[in-house]
Amino acid sequence: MDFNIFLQLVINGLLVGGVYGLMSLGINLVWGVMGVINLAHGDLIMAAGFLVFSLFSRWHMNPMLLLPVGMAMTFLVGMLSQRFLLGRLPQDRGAIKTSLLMTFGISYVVINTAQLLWGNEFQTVTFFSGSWSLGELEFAKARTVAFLAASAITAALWLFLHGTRYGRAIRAVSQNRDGAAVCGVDQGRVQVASFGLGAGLAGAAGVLLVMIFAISPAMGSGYTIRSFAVTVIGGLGSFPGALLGAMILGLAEVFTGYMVSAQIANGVAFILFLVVLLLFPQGLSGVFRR
Amino acid sequence: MNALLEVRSLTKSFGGLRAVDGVSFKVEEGKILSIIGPNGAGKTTLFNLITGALAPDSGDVLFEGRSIKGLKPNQTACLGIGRTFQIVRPFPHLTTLDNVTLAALAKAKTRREARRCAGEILEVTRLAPFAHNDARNLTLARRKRLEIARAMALSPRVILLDEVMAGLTPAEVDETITLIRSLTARGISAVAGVEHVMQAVRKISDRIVVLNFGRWLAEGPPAEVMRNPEVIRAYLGSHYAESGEEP
Amino acid sequence: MKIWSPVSLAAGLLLVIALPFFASDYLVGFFFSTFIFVTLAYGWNLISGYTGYLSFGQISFFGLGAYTLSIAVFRFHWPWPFGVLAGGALAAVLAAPLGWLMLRLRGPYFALGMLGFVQVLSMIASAWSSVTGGGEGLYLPPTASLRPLYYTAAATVFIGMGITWAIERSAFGLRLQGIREDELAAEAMGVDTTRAKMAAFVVSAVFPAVAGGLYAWRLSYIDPASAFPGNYEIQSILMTIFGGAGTILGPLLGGVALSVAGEVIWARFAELHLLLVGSLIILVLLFMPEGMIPLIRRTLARRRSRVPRSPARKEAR
Repeated sequence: MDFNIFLQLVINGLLVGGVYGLMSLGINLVWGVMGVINLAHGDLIMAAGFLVFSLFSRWHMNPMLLLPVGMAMTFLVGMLSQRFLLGRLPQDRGAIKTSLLMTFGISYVVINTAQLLWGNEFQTVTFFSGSWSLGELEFAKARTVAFLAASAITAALWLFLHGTRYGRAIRAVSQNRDGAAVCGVDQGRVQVASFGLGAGLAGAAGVLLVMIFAISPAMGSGYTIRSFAVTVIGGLGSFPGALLGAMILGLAEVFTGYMVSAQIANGVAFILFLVVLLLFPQGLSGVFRR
Repeated sequence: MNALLEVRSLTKSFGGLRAVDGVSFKVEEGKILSIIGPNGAGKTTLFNLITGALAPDSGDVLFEGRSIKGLKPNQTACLGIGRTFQIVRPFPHLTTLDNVTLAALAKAKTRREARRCAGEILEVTRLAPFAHNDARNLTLARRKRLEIARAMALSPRVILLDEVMAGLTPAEVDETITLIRSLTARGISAVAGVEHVMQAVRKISDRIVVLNFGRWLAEGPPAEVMRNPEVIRAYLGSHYAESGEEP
Repeated sequence: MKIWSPVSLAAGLLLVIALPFFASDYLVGFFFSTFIFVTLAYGWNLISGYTGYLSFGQISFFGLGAYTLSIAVFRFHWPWPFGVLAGGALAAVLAAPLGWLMLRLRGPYFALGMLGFVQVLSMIASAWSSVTGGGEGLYLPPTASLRPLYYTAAATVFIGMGITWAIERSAFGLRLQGIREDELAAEAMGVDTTRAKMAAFVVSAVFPAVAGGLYAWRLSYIDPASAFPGNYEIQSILMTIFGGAGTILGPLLGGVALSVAGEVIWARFAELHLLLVGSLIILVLLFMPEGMIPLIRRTLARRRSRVPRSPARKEAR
């Protein structure tokens, strides 16, 4: 392989990895704090992307300005889901399964609503076209902007979780639920906020994604799997792990897409997911912790 | 004569923490051995190592003279090692009868045979009135009896009882003691992991092994062990050791 | 507490057999579809309702069965019943190694894994066009008569019920339920959980595969989108949960009830279909998570016993 092509692929993979990292942080947060696997995650990503697409079609503004709107929508959906649906389930030993099933139901509500509002076609938002050149290498504008935005949001999230009282409360609940309760943390509220936050991150990822790729409401589950693949690869609860996992997935997809086919590249996430789960149950971060 | 169950220099660490550190002891047929030690002394880890739920870092476990290291929990259960869990784990949505029947399937050939055997055990453990209730609706004391009933259904030769008397009223503790004694009367050995409930331990144990921080501290008949100053210090602090008071 | 009796069973059987003789083709076709869903539901019921391993990938076997039938008929000119059986056999063979891989994953991971497996099979179906016809699909000779299909589907449902009934009363069934309730404790009680899980997984794969084969033959066409219809997965899960997961009659009751309801709604609100199904799942989980059968059973039991509360009453803890 030509070295330049290799480098180009690496760049493409890393850039998209940034968005994948953002996608997985939402899952990581919800999973870590509440032990809930949100099967609707990918569909929320799609929904936000479509919301922005429809707004963009009407007003043709910079999609980055619409980013907060997409995030706000999914944030709201997430909070309401937790407050009125998931939060109402009895917290017994079967709770994980029941919430899994419920998010499965929610995902179909989201998909169908998106289809009703915005149709079932593949859509994309072309605002940042072309690329910046650095010598022989091309940095596609859409991907680069998405990468930078994803990095900024990730950094902001890190600051929120480590620097603010609310963020620390969330981390406390994820580490030790009862301990946090004893310290006066309102679990119910933290759960609502966390689920909302996780959904909001999904929304952000969706907005960035629609700038790069063409998406359709039916593609949600593929992105759910990608998000979980990244989380599993990096190890649950690990920020740097998630980012590492995201880069790995991004690179794997891009290289597979180039060397084999685009269709197989779609399945890479699942294969990585399985391989890592079976060989490294703790994810890669678990390997390093040893 | 071989001991029924023998533990040799068992060691297990989690990360940097030595949960069980070179512990050895023997359990004779039809006898009751109590393993006492403050919380965190390694009793549950020890039980998990014996049943195969955890793999030891080093050491061996011998049952009827043969090593059972590396066997899985269902295999040790079928061989004849029953156990109860410290935090009771009944099958919540199954009836009391079904709970015990499932365990009886380890030895019985058909479900009907297992159910019959389970019915008898429910009589012995005085759970028969609740045979058709879901296990999740039982009181704690009854759930603890159910734990023992399930272990009995395996037709075991030894039962590991993990904190089986914790959280019970004195009357319930006495009932449990009677039940355990009836087990040994049938030739089943018992290994009881206990944190406190000292009166009960003194009453029923043939021998006591004391663990502290995963390490063997002392061993012997109850009266002897209870008077051992090392044991008193580890358990109750220096006050009792110095004053010579009996705990 | 029995809800059904030999009499009602015989009556139901007679009704099913007699239907094509007095009902319209449309109605027969409707019941055929219903039976397909009920068969799917019985498969899910076994691995998820009884064994407690939530699978969101049963339609991977459905698609496998559909493609097996299509390929057997299209490329090898087999008669369609053999194609259907081949699908079931292939699913069982595939389920063994797949189950060995997947069942070692804890609950949510298993669910995700099966979800992803559907994608993988769909991907293979698209890519392997020389065999599967790829994105274009395969066109099968059209079915002359609906009746053989209808009766086969009905028979599949009865077989499914029968197998579920046999399993529930057996030692195997109790072991599966133990795994569902508490796998670790089950192991401590001597259950070889790996073997039991795998057996359940393999058997539960055959149901959707057979259903898929029948479905493909009825459709006379197959392509990745129709072989792996996402809404079939969620609908069969909803049917089982609504009827009562882990019961013998649950999938049948839920399947028939929701199919009938679906027909009525489909007629008027086709675009809202998935939204309604999803909402129903949410509502069922919130308000009747155990499903109709346990609910009915409890209501009947309460009505029959006017006796003052026994020690059987719920005690606090």
